[in-house]
Amino acid sequence: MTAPAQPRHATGATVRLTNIHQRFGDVVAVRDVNLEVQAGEFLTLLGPSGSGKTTTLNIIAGFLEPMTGEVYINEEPATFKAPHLRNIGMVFQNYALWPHMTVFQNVAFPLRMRRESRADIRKRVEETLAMVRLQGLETRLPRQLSGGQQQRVALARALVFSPALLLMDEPLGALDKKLREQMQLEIKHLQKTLGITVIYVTHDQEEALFMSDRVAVTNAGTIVQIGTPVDLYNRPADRFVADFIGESNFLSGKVQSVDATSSCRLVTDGGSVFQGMLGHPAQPGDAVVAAIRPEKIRLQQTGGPSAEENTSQGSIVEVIYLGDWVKYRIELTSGETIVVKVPDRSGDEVHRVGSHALLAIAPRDVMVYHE
Amino acid sequence: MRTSPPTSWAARVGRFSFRVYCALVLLFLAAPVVIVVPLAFSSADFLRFPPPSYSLRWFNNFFSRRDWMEAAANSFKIGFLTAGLATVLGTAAAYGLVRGRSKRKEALYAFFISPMIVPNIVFALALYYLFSRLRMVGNMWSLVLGHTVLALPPVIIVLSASLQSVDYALEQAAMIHGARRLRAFFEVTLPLILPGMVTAALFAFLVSFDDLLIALFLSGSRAVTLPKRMWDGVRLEIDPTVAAVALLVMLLPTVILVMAALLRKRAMGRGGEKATP
Repeated sequence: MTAPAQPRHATGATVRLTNIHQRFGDVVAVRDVNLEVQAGEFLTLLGPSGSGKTTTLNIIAGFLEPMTGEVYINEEPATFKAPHLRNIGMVFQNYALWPHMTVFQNVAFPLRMRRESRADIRKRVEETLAMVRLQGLETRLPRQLSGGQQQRVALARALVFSPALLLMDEPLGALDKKLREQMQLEIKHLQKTLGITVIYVTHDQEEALFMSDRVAVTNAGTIVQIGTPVDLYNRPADRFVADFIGESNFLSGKVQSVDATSSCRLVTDGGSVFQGMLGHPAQPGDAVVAAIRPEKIRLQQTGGPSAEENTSQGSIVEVIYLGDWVKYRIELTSGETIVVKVPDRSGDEVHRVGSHALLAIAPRDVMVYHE
Repeated sequence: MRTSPPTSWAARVGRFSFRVYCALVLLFLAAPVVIVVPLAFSSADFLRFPPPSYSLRWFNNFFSRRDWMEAAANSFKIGFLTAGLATVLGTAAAYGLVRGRSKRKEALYAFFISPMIVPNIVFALALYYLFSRLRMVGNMWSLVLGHTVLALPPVIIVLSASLQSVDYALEQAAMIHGARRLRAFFEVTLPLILPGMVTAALFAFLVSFDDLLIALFLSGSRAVTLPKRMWDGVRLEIDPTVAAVALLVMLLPTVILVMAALLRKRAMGRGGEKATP
């Protein structure tokens, strides 16, 4: 059976997963996952390896049937539909280009399976190769291409039949940093111009934040938080997300008092007192951990902090110069250490090891989670 | 002599006796085969070593006698059919064993390999009882089926290794981009395991071409293979035709194995070269 021909610039498909559960032997790979992806959305499944993100992708592709739960693509039930009938493009982790076929044959394959005419195939392969800037390499075999070129062929193959949904499984993992950043931009740009829905899997949080409209953070088979990159970075749902996305200082302590607006006062184990925002409901006396982003801490020398800010004092024990940023490790008078990241603007003095530091942190930047 | 530290007397004796030992092992392995060569060119009426003088008369005898030629034709027919059948069945079995998600994979693998463990004589007897009931003794197909079972273990081993070297993602890529599973196999997997399949088919052919035991039981009088005819020759005629045939039969596998090696080399050579667009 051939899939129906799609209009050239198809609008993206919607994808809905309900109560997906998948187990391999005794290992639960995916636990009760619910997910809705909008048409034209770039959604990333982000998580450490073994968190179930690739399994989820394989269920959407149809390579795996979930033990329970349903998959809907464009609101049509697709749980048990064979992969070749789903009309999905996919870019695999190591590209999975067919080594015995030329670039042209690789890219033409999806069209050939759809019984397109020879002339149409030639035309659309050419267009697609031009789109990924790969003209002139049609007769090469995959092994005669660089990693970046192979990546583009894989992308062309997945887009040549104008699918409404594109799945990408760690597609940039094998490329070096510069090339990876360039491809991130190009993929993002292609996705916006084609209006295609993309579900992207990665364990690289920077990549996820940079490319996605929304990110679903997975851990141990469940989606622990889903939201825009700004949401995830500024309002992590729990300690895991605060740790996995970006950098955080973690100070453990106890809740002293809670008020109605979910702001709270906590005392760290070392005795520092912070005003912060509760990530979960908590009672006074609960053991908690405060997460503070290093770049949200201001390092002051002169001029006191504003009245509502948390302040702390300490001395600098380590200075790490990163070019655009300077990182200071500071030992607080309470004995706890905290990392502060300060942009290196021209004219600013770089502090020395041993010098005194006065820290100011806004209460909304102190996120408080259960231990 | 080199000026390096003088080797001790004991070390020299040790090295010498090791070389003698190696030479003896080689001689032991090669002697029976080497003796066949002069015998094949004997001019005598009986198998006698060393032959009194040399001629091609026994080769001539082999090629001009109908019974010998028929046996050779049977051996080739049965060999080709066995190679074809074992390769097709073995590919299917290996595919299931490598790609399947069954928990009984290991047990199944052991089962498919078991003809290697069962003594051939037991297997031949069992086949004899089966096929005599079916009135198939002397039918070429009984030999094809018997040889196929014997050929399956090496075929499955070779093809499992081939399939394991083909990333499953290549098939998944074909499926998600519009090929049903069977089409994905023929478009992607088959071309990539083709060298493995050719090797497997050659092995299967040799298993069949080489077999005497099953032929002894199942040949009857109508499906006599070359090894069976040689066996009869030794028992009933003892003229040197057997030696001449032995030499020819020995050359064939050698040619096949050299071919297989060359094929592999070429496939690898192609893998490395850089073609211009």
